[in-house]
Amino acid sequence: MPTDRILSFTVNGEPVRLLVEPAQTLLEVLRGPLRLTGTKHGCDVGDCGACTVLVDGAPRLSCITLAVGCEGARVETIEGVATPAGPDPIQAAFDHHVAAQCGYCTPGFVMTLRHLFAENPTANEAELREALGSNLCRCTGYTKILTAAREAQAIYAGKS
Amino acid sequence: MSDVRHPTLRAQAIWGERRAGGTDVMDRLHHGRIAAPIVDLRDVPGLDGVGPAPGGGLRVGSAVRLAELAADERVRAGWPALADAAGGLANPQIRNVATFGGSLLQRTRCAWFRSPDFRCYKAGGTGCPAAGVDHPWHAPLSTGPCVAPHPSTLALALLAFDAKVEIEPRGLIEVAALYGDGMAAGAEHTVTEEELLVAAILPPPRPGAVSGWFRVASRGRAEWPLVEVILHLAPGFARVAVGGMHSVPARVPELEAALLAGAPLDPVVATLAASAPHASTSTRTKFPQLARAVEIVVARLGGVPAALPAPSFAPPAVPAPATPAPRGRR
Repeated sequence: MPTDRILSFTVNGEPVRLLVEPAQTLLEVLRGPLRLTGTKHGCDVGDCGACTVLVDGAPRLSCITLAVGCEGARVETIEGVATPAGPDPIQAAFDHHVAAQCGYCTPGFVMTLRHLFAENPTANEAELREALGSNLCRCTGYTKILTAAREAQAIYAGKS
Repeated sequence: MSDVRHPTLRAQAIWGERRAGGTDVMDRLHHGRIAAPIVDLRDVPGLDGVGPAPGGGLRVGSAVRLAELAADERVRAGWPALADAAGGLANPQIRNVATFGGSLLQRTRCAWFRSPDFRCYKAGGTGCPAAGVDHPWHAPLSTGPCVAPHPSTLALALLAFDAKVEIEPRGLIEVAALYGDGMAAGAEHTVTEEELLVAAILPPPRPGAVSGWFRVASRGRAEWPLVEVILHLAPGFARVAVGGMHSVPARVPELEAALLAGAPLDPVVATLAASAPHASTSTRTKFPQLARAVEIVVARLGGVPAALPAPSFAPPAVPAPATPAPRGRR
């Protein structure tokens, strides 16, 4: 019988220490014991990007990431994006352009864009589309998402 | 629930389902296709890095991420089709975690194999539930009982570049020996549970060589190919490795000969289709796609490099050394 392991990491800046099963995924830990259900469970095999979170600043598909592999890591989820002052510019732009319809894919898109704008604030259209190639949406047809992303990018650029 | 081991020595990284980036293993775990303990290669030393190989070639560690491989300037300059393929597979997040070795040794992506409702040869069963199904994903040129195409695009690149792979403790072997002839339906490769894929060795670039990759798929990104080709061309030299058509990564010598002769490709693929062991209505459509894919790569590469003219003078004789080299045991 596999032995549970102790996992220590930070989630949205909060230190967390809990027991996890050896083959449990980061997604299962986030949505299960940590009750952070903003990260969505989509395909379960790394195809759709709905489960995207940031691990040490890089986007990761949490459904194919072993939780035990995140020992000491800094994990950021959609719950950590907004501040008490209001939503992140990406979230606001998605709202403004109705880029979220059913909303299931939205947390993944937001986390992917957070990473892109942090890494490459001047990403051009091709780089934007390439970065979003990891995330699937079956409602919007992507046009509204791209419009929202461009608007959010401009707001991010104005802040920096 | 599977157990997961995290060995810190290469000698311990055996007996179980080896996990590197997890893009195949986690998929199979979620489909109930993992029985053995998972052996996570995360902490195993000596599997990463791209560096020079003796004689001017390149050594690519099995744990190198696809994104690293695609961005490596040495790979881009000397073996561009390998970089293009590594940078064009799957999606950015997969490429950030998936490894070179994982791409080479991943299990088939056949939906029948991945489904817990079937038990095919590769899942320990005794038949192929897909064999009687007319589906364009099947491999018409498979010579064995499994009709699933081999999933590794990077294996095609290794074939096209005449690379070798380093298996511990077996040693340096040809890519063809890594995959066998496809008759063993139960496995995609010949690496046993006691062995570990350590690296691939690419020979030095040929003078005047060009190379390229093209994939025919039902959408532009993050989709498995119907047909794909990797071409490596140099004066008087052609390698055409083809995916989506065979159950093992394979070259198509008939296409190589046609390219060198400047002959049309349609008659070649028509002949291949006529003798294909698993041809069906759907898979026959892949043969013209194969010819077009090769033509597209050739056009992108600026044509087949012309063979060098034969020398019109006798090559100079190599002078004998002034002092004969000592012979005997050293």
